[in-house]
Amino acid sequence: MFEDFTSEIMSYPGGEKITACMQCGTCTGSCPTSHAMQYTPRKLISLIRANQKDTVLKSLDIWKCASCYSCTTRCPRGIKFTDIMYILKNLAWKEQTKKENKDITGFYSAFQGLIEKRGRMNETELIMKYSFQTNPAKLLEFAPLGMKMIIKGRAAFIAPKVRNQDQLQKIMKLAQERGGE
Amino acid sequence: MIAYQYYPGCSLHASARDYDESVKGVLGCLEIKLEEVPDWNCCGATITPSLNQLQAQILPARNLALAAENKGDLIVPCNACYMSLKKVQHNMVKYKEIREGVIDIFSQTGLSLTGMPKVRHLLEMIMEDIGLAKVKEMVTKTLKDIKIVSYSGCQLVRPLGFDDPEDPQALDQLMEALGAKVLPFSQKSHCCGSSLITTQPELAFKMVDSILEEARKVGAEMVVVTCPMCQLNLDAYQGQINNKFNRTGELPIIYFTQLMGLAMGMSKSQLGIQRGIVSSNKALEKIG
Amino acid sequence: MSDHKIGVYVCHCGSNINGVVNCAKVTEEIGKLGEVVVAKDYKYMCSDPGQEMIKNDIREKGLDRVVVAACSPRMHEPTFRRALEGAGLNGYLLEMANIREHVSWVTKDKEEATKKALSLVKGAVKRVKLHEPIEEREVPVTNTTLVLGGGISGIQAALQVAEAGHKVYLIEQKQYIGGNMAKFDKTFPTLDCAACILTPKMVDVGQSPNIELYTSSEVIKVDGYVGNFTVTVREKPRYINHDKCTGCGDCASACIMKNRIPHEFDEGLSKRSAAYIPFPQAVPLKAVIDDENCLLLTRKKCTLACVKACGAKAINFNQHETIHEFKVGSIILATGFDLFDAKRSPQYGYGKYPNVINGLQFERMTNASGPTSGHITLADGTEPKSVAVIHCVGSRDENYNKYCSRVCCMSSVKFAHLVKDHCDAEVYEFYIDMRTFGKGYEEFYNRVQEEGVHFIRGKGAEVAQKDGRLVVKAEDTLLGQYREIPVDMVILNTALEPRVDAEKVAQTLGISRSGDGFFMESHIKLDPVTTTTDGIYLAGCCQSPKDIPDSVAQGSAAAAQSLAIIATGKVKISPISASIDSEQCAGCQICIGLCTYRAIKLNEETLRAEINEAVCKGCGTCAAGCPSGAIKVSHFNDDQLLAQIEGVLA
Ligand SMILES: Cc1cc2nc3c(=O)[nH]c(=O)nc-3n(C[C@H](O)[C@H](O)[C@H](O)COP(=O)(O)OP(=O)(O)OC[C@H]3O[C@@H](n4cnc5c(N)ncnc54)[C@H](O)[C@@H]3O)c2cc1C
Ligand code: SF4
Ligand code: SF4
Ligand code: SF4
Ligand code: SF4
Repeated sequence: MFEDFTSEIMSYPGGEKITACMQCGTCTGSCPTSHAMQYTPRKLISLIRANQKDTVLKSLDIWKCASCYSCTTRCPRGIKFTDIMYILKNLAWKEQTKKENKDITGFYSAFQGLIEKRGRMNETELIMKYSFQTNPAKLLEFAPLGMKMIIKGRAAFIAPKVRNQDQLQKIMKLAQERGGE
Repeated sequence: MIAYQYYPGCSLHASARDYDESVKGVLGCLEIKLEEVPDWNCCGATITPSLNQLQAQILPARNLALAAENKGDLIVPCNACYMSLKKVQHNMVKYKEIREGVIDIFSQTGLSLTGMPKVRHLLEMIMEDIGLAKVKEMVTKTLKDIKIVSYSGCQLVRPLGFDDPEDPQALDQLMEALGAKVLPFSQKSHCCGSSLITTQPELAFKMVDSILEEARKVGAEMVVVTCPMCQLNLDAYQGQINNKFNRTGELPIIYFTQLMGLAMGMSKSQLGIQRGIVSSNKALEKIG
Repeated sequence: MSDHKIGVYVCHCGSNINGVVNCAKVTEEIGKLGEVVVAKDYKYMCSDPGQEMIKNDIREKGLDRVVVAACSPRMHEPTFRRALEGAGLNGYLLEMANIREHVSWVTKDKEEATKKALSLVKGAVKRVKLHEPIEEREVPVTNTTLVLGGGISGIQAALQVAEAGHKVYLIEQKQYIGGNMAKFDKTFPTLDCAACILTPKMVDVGQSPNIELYTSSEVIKVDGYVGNFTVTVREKPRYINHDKCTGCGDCASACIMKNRIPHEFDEGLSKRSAAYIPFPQAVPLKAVIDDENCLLLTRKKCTLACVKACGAKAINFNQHETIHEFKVGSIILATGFDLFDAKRSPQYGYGKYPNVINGLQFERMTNASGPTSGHITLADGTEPKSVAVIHCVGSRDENYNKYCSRVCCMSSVKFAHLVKDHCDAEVYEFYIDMRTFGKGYEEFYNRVQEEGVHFIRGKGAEVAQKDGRLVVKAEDTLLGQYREIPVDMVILNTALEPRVDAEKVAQTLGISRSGDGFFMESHIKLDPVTTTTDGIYLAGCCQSPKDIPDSVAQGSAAAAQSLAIIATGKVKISPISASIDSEQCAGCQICIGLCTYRAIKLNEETLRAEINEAVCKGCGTCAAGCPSGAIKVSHFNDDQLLAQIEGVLA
């Protein structure tokens, strides 16, 4: 009944109502980053409905979503567009993005890597890992801010972690294996 | 003494140590006991959901599983953690595939999700359980009309939050109860772009700037926040952002619990106020 | 009981039923039942040949019971009853099995559908054997009409009934008639001046010998039934003697509260006194004293400047509310709409930024006798250089109202034209879809496009203030780009909503509301004027949002309904009603509270409940609730229902 990509999006939690979109643009008009998007939230929906999967998943616009939920709250048709952005990012992460953008890939893998391993986040370590994975010169950019944080006692030097690391790693692995959606 | 369970979230042990200090100080004064969820883990914020939906449920769900059934509501001071925890509860009810996935994975690791506690933001708990009347009673040193704008941020009120998603009221009311002068502010629930600050600073900087710029325009002396992510974004990056957009005037970014503590007679250092990158000293001068 | 001769008729309804249900098979199977003398299927049973077929069989085969398996009885039960009567059989010896709404329209499974259809028809056959002939009753009617609400639709209805020579009581909540239309300056699509077309009608109402107008009044109780309603009305005091007041307005100028109370008629854009004339063309053109703000009435202390100023000695602070009782044959509801409160969407800054206004405020601004004498001005008194109109605020939106409010696209276009006409500012219209469907509407849209208005396809998402100006944020969806458009004034074209007191009115009159909150019509397509209660009719926006042409048309239609009742002089009352066996009744009065139609009363002498059969709708609620089993409903008695169930399950 619907194009393949539309049906696929509809099959994920949060994507169900996508065909109710009336292309009003409230989502875009409410979005704090749409000014920088080639494909605005509304347009992403029309691309999905036109089955242009490649175009959508290759676009870095989906990574510009700040998860502010303005679009979701205001959509007159009850479409959870923030969730749709997450679905698109999940798919793109598997299929596309790693090829397209080093910064995004670097940051998201650094973050996810830390969590999967230790279960808690440490901003200092995250920035170091991210910089090494992308461009070590970045460390210099972060340095002044890092220094201030250290002076104010707002940086942790001992990496925090959960006690039951085995359990945490196992559930994360099982979730990964289940296919993710 | 009322008891609650407490999920601080990663920031409160590091970059938002000041928030943690003020939360504990204020709740101590109010004779409220907080018991930290044992061995909690990161909620995954906006990063994990971007990569893997099931992992994004698993992370907050593990915290819910570790929280006790009968030790009171689960109090969360961070907007992002609050939303993640509430959202997984919502998803588990709404989506069978998520519910089954989480239960199946948990059953293989000895975790169980019976009797999940109610998830509430710290501000929500203070407004509803303690109440403005009691807060007013506790004020020993009013904030003497210090001019503030209250910035609730996005994930406190959207999409599953407890206040009006477009024009939240709770923080305004609390600040007025402390004696602050709350200025009209249309950016109350606009997003600060925290999740983009590292990868796409040009986007996030613009978002922070429009918040700070309006705060300055309406004449605020400080911006009051409810979330460690917002605080970090508005405070630590403020210098860079002001440079970039050619703005003058520094605005201290203060946690609502810090102002509560001050009004209740606690000292600045007890509340971690000296830890702000932008100093609050000048703004707080008039209340001494 | 093998002495009945039953005919069963299975309708295909084109492919509506036959596309899913195997009608031939149902007919064949049912034909095998003992007392079924004849079973036939046919393409359209309700058509002339279909009905003739039934009639012929009754005459030729001596049928004494008929089952029609077709659509919902709501539509065609009367049709087939008439067919039976045409062949000399009592119409109530018919039973319908609904195999369309209950079967073919709700499944795609042909086999299951055929099975279910057969079961329903079997139930009908079992049941129809127990039907008894009953006679419809007729009662005489009162030839007066009550119209509730004096907007354009109520005025239209009242005038038409009155012109036909019958008495009308027109009850209006406000102190004046005219409703929302009285506030406009121009009306789309022709831009006639609202006052020019409305005022003569309002004056006619005031002068018609057949219309008794009650302003500041509301209905508090309705008793009775079609043809014979008793309506109780409460009239609030105006503290003005209407016979003496000349409408000069001297009291208003003298009043101590002068220019201190936000004026409702001007949508808060001007201030009035506590004694005031609602507006210059008001009917009745009499002063009114507002008891919520008058110093004497609220604080018992005032210099009585108004009394001193009134040369006609018309002011009387001793007036009290009056209760009136009217006997009427029918009631026309024309209570109109409320405007959506834009504060419910804080993102548009209504109530926060002074230059964000709603449509009615804009109407008042352009009205020559309005607060700005017809000038479009900003809060600081200057003229705007650019204006935005945002469509669909509170309409077409799951968060508020799902429906389209139907008039706002057109009124937005009207606003754009008026801005161009009055001050030549730039106008930006933010719309989702342009809905300009009426006669002359698309042409008007076209004309305004050519006047240089910017139409931006995208819903205005937010209004912000930047550097002292307003900014509308929206996506220009045809460009695919986010845009921020700075303007001086924003007009929010908000939804038309059911009146705040709609539920109270519905309960007082005993009628229903549909999911959107408006009063419910009996059939959305074929009977949009009648409510589910006989004798109560709907006109104008109280039924659903509509423009003036449609409101007027429906006002006339409602008048025609009332006149039809008066013309026949009597009304038929459905004979299906409940009755109480006074022997069995214990006088517990449970049924009295259960009856929505207030048909049951306690006989003070016998202390037993009694049903007024004319009021009773035969809904059966009381019968189900009676602990003594004393209540029976004709045509729906226990034996008949049990037989039907037995047949379905067989
Ligand atoms: C901003 C705006 C502009 C418009 N412009 C146009 C236009 O240019 N052209 C056009 O064709 N249409 C226009 N319309 C639509 C037009 O307003 C309606 O079609 C029309 O007013 C409907 O008339 P009505 O009598 O049904 O309701 P109303 O005008 O609402 O009148 C209802 C009356 O009933 C009274 N009432 C309410 N409740 C009670 C009660 N319980 N008891 C007694 N009395 C009661 C009210 O006081 C009121 O007098 C516009 C609408 C809006 C909002
Ligand atoms: S706001 Fe909703 S209906 Fe409108 S374009 Fe966006 S997703 Fe579609
Ligand atoms: S949730 Fe994402 S797409 Fe939606 S408005 Fe916020 S930033 Fe834009
Ligand atoms: S009450 Fe008297 S002063 Fe007022 S309008 Fe009527 S006649 Fe004039
Ligand atoms: S008429 Fe036009 S403006 Fe009004 S609700 Fe319908 S589409 Fe929106």
